[in-house]
Amino acid sequence: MIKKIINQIWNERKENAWIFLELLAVSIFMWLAIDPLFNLISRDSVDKGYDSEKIYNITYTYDNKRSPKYKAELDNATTIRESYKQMLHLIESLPEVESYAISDGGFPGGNTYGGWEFIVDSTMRADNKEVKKEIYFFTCIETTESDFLQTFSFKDVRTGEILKKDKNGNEGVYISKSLAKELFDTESAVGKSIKMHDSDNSFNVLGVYEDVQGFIYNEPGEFMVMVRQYDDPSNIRHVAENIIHIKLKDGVDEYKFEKRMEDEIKPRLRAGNLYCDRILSHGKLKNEFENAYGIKNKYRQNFIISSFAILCTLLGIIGTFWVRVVARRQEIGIMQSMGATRATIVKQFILEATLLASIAFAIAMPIVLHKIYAIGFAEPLVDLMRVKPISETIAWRNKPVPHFIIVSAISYFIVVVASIVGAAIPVASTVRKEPVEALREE
Amino acid sequence: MIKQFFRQAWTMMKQQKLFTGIYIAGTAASIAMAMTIFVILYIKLGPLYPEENRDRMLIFTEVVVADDEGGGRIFNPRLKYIEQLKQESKLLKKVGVREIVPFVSDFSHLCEISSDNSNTTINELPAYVDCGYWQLFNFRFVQGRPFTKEEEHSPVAVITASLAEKLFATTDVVGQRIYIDTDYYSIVGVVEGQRTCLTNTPSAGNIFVSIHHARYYDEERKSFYGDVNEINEYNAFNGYTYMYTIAETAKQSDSIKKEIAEIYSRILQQNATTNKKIEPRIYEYWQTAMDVRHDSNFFTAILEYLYLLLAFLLIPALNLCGLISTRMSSRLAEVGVRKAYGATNRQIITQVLYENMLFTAIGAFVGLVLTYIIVYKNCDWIVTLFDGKISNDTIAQGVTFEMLFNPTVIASVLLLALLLNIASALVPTLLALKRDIIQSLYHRR
Repeated sequence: MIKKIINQIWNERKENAWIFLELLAVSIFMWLAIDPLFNLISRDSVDKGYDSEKIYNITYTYDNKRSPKYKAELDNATTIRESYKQMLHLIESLPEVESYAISDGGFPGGNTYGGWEFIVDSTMRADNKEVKKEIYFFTCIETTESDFLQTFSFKDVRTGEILKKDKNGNEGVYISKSLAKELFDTESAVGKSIKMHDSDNSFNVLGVYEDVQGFIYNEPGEFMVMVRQYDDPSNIRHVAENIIHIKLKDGVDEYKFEKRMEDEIKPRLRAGNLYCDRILSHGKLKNEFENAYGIKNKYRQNFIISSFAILCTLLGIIGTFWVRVVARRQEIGIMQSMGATRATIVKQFILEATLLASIAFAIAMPIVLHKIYAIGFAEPLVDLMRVKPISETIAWRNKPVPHFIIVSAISYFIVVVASIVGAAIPVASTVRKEPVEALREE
Repeated sequence: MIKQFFRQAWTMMKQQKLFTGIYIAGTAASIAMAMTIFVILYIKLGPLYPEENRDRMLIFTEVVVADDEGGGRIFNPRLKYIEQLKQESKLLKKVGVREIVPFVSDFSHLCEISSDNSNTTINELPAYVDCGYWQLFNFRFVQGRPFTKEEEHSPVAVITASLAEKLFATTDVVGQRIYIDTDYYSIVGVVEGQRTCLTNTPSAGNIFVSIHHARYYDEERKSFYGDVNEINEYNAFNGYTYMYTIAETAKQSDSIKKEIAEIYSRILQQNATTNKKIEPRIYEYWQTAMDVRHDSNFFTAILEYLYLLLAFLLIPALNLCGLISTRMSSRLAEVGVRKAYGATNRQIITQVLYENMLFTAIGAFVGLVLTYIIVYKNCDWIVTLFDGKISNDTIAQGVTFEMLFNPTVIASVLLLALLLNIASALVPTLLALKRDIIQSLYHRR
């Protein structure tokens, strides 16, 4: 049957030329629209390595000297210190809170981090090579009660359990598994040390955690958490820039908690000139980043293009097959009177549409491959992707060959389904007629 | 004759409902998508109230100072230096500068705006400008007038009608007091609100006061913000000011950019007593609106839009070509008869084009209506659809009549429709006309 249909497509090549060209163009545009969508969805759904559920981020701001609410008598180091302590105590004492952490603004799944060049001394490595590397990191500020690692559920590479913070409250760094391998050529890096380039500052490795996503829409990879012990703040700006992250206990109703925070707790998170600005769930914060970095725009743009391509395919195929079915009414009538079922006839036309779409898609692929060869796959938000994940940590589906196969399969599926639907509508309505009616109309 | 073509097309439309439906739907989809892109571009770049001189506007926002590591540090221009630059009026006029206006707005700090009349407090970013601002933009005054040069040292303000309504429940507020944080100002004028869709355009803001009151941004920033600005070798370069310039004609932009860069570099080097390489970056309005580099060219910047336009026109055009080709096949006999009676190819092509024109016109109209619905309903995000980075102050304020119903938009629809009509009808018709009369008539059998 397929051979017969291929013959038919070839015999009607002139009539098929326009719809074929349209399918070709649709295939290319569909692929180009699905590629960035896949990129985004795939990178968003990687195992992030930390737990973002039930995390809330509390940001602060302050009344400055020109604000009517500014109180000059409270703008001194002692008051700021006491105010901040009071607020931390209030957060810690909330019955819904399991743990809390303080960061200087960079945290997993956020949009900011620090970066510095570090040196690993040759004595730290089995091969006696010195390593110099720019490392990206978060800085967490630890009090005796706060726990960054527990709040974000970083996993210890040795046990798979949540990484415990240093009992003695030492300053140092926690590094990701892939960073440990890169710096020390081993995952067992606890006790080793790294040094800041152009500085005497040296940091002990306090623990090694499973890779986490440092940055939204990035693959988990080489990253570091730098621990700084809580130091009494002397300036209001220092504390206002910090973010307090809280993790809720299991079973806490998030909706009720949000409402309670907004109505009862937020007004109390005000001390002196410092006050709580926003309390945002991790999900909502991510949503804000997606808006700000144009990620949501990328989704929208490519959904619009794909939908438009689907609509055009439908219109094109419906138009072509309607004319074709009308022209072959007599043939259909004869086939029906010879005993062909409606399903057989519909199947024949659907197969014709499928073949047409498949051939067009196959021809579109070399053009797509040329585009990939020339400028590569769609890079999700180049500006944002400054942190390049090391190859070992790239999810299999984001590697070039699987990526190409998956995007092609999705695009092919959409084009073929649209073609089948487009062909089925006119054919189904025609074969409903009795054969005698179809033959009489001729 | 044309009337007859249209009559024939109308009859055909009624007879072939499916053909007509698909043709109009395809055209409408294509026009709607292409026009949505066009309207987005128009809102971003077109001459809209009060920024009717966007094509002649230059914006100076960045100064790159070479550092010792071979890179560069980016600063904003400093008010004091811009004022010195303004004094070089002879040089500037010579290259076509009509107006230079410094502009300060502290994007990091929303001020609390209040009045004596009510307890309402509104958070706003005041715009600190000099009296030249009112020459730069064509604001329409609902009440009062702009502040004058003589008033620049007085606490006077111009506010928008929407802010007046919020604070005083009326626009008749000239002479009333308004507070920016703890400082009070007398209102001298009320303007119609800026109607651009985005709030990060140069005329954005609801309260305008003299730049004299923003002097602390340059001089007192350190005490204002505590230790934010540690004194270092780059301190002399830093400022918090933007500078808007209007050229006499758009063509003079390049020479103005060059002249301003030269003068500012000289002033900065003198004031900072440095030999460091200084590169002032002056943007044309469209460059800031499209968030591209100061040396980008327009064609490269809109390439992404052009690709999309091409896709939105090409795919439906192929679809329409297929439809017209099918219809031409079924009308071969008619073509043969017309040719036999002496009709030229040109006459037949004209007939087909006119016939399709009717369908295209209907499709274009439906498409335009769809565009308006799409833009109107989604104005909170659609204008920034192609922006890579959206700042927090880029908030859509709704579309206005002039953004949608203006000659440029309407002319573009007509042009696109005509293009689509010709592109989709011409090739299939020419192919059909290749057959000779005998063949065409034989087809009738």
